[in-house]
Amino acid sequence: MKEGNSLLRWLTTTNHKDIGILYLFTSLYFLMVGGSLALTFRLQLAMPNVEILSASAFNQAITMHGLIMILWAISPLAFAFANYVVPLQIGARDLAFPRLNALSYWLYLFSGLLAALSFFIPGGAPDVGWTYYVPLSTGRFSPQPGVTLAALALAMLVASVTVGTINFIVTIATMRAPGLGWSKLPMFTWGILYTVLIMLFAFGPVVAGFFLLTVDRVFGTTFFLSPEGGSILWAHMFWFFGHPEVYVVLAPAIGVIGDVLETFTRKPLFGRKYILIAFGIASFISFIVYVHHMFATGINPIVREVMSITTESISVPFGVIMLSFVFTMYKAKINVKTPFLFAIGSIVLFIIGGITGVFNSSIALDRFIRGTYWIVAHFHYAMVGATLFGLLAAIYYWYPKMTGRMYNERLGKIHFWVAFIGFNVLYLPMFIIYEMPRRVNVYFNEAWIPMNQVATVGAYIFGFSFLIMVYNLVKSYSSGLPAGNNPWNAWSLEWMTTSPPPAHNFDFEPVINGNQISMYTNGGVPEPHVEHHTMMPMLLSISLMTAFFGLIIYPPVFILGSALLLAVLAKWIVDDIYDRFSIPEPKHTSKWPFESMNRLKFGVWILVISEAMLFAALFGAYSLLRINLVGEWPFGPEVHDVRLGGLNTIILLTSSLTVVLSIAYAKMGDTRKLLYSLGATYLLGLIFLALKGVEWAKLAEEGFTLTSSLAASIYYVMTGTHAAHMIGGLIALTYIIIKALRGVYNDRNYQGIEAFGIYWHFIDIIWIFLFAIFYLM
Amino acid sequence: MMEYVLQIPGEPAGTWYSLFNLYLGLGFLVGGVVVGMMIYFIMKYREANSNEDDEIKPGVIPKDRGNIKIITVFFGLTAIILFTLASYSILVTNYVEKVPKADDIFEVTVIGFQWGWKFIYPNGTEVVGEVVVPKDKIIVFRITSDDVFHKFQLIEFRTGADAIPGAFNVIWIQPTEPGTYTIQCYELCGLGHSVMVATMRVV
Repeated sequence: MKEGNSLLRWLTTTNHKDIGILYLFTSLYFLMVGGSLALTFRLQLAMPNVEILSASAFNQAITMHGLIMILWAISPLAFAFANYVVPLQIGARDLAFPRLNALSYWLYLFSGLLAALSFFIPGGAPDVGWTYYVPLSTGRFSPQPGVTLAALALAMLVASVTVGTINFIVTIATMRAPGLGWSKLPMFTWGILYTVLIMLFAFGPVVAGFFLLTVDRVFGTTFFLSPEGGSILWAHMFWFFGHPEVYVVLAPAIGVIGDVLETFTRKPLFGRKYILIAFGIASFISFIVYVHHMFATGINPIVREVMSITTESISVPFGVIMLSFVFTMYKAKINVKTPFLFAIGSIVLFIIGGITGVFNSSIALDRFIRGTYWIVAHFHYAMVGATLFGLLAAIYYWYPKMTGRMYNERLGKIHFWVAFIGFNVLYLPMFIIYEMPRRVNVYFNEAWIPMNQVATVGAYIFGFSFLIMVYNLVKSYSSGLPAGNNPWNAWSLEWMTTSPPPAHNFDFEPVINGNQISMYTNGGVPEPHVEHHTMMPMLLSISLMTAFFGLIIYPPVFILGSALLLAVLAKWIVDDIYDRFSIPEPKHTSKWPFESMNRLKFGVWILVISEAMLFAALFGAYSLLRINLVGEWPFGPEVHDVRLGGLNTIILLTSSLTVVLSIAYAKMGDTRKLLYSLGATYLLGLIFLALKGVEWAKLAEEGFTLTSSLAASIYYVMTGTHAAHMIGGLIALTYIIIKALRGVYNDRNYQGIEAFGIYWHFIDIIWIFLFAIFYLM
Repeated sequence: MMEYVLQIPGEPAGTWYSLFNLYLGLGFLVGGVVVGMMIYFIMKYREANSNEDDEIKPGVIPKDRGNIKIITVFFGLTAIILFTLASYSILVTNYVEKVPKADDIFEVTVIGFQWGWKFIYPNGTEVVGEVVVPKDKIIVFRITSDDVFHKFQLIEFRTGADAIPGAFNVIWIQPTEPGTYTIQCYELCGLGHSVMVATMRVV
């Protein structure tokens, strides 16, 4: 184990608290990058017609500001605390998959750097707006490589998010301290649980969208250039993610506010249960209402009418949440400290952001408001105001826990007031000049000048306020008063250990009896803690970044990156085969209702859900294209060889059967038959891929190529994606076969094969659908 | 900004303002009451000393509280306010979206391109940059795009629609005040987005 602050420790750590701190610094760095971009274009807008930024530089700045702030700054800032605090709050030693957690972080860091690199390549960063509307973002209108590079960076970030999602869901579901039921979890842990659940369903579709866009840009297909797909297809795929993303960003802040309010009002949260139910309902509705982003696009009027009403109704649960927060303060004993001030600030700004959002749900108002500064002001109140202020509350609230020192309260309060005033001076004027168009670098209406200048002044005040915070936190780190374990007299578990907590979090075993949390001394001996260090997650992320960068900019670099990637992957597998990172399944935890679920198997189930969302989005794209192209779409059996496809289907189904057999043989302890059945699966998988290759070659010969028609494009993309998943499955199977050869599996240890089986069956089911839509219809 | 509020150049701007003002008024009222209540609570119940009879104690999971009746009131209040707004909004939406019946509708086809607006008059004449329309008549714009997504916005008339390649969106206005009005693109469409401006002259 590596002690102290050596660089090597930070590069190789898998401890959730270390990773939390890495997230914290990285997200604050990206916050600074995004903020600097904003300060630059606010300067441009202070005068109506100057050229501090050219049109191109301006568009790059606003695009990257949006992407960086939403994806690489605010959400990861929440995950800094999720990493640090959630395991503590549930009384766990670490997350369920510590190494994957490190992977999440490194993928996040290097995806961000990859996106930022686009500033330095020919043609510059993407300049198409963070919403990447097509056809502007297709190769025809924006050929510069930066647009593709940022899309790949986003795909890499989604990989990070998916891994993180799996990790947090499994951790919260199965690693709670004994007796810590769902209803007893602190609000912040609930907030993070909601966050990852929404992420799980929202990120698959957006990755599918960016994937299709990249195929368009790189291989010349026309998903987003043809009127049949085009902007409507993009709008569906983007906003299905885009709207829930607002709640992804918001949920951690709601959680922080919940914890902070309880601590500083000395009262249990009013209507805690109902707050949670309300947020659940709102999250669910958020997946339906995304259509409201398309009110002005001329989609079906009845659909829009329904969406308009659902969108208005999403405000009802938020009304309940906000009123409950306010009522918590009734007859309370309120201690106004910096975290409390930021929490209140967050509530006030959320109320303004929420109410001004209701305007957008009215189609009649939205027809005009869409694309104006009203929108800019509204979503900054919701996303920066509500969320960032909530997360700033988190920084001050948990700072004593993370450092063992108290920050300077006076400076903290000054920071709040400067930030709050600066924020409102920045964004309130945008409501006043709401008729001004967004995303313009010059404007001609003189009436808009004064308010733009006020906003710019506000931006610099708001930006300056962060310097106060940095000064305070840096200075307090060395000279702050010792904080003690529980400076706020808070109730939850993270305050029942030292500040900062030891690597293993708790010297004793936390146990919950009824409402009472106690530390089970276990005969005075702390439970042993297993901790590993590994360089692999970082190396894997670097090589992936290198490969992506090379793919777009310089092919030899791509080869270098891919070779590195394969080497790291191989090393990772070898480490695993020799069990160098095994972490014992935690014994005494609350797992209800997942008692019988092994950690790995559970993780794979979550992975399957996110993969299902990815494929669902592709099936959706297929349906939209086919419906719009009715008449021109070729009848399946006329193009595809049904007999060959049918044979392949049978082969794949048989391979599922052999997996089932292999699990049975593993349970029986029959290694020889286990190996036979696994080998058979492998072989059948290979045959399937080979036949697929034959089919592709034959089709290409007949002129049915990737770019020959939309029907062909979507066929190759979907079956290709499926084949890529099969290859992934076969790599996993290789690993399992090697382990089986070493005689690892027996009647107690077969969950690895089961987990693989779940994934393999999933791929088979996807194929059955693919067979139906392409070969039979 | 006040000038625009006072000078309504015709429909649907007048109706739009009536809806906008309703939302604004209710928004101020609701936001003011909630924030005011919160500030009042904070002032009134401020107390820095925590002691033994706190309901929050270290190591004790707080009891659930929250009266379902009060929650229902919260729910009901929010729902009533929102559905009042929603129903008025639907009325206005139907009005804005449905072209009024009239004998002589003046129909102009609008084609957005990088970076400008082309107008095709009923008689087939094509012009770029300025469209001239008659006062008091119902003017219908059929909007599409030649290349990328744009948004056709008639700022003073408080209406607009996306210009989408391969599709047509329809909006209508009825100008009552002669004058020159601004048409601008409201969806980022590339380098010339900021200057994708045209004028509409009402005579």
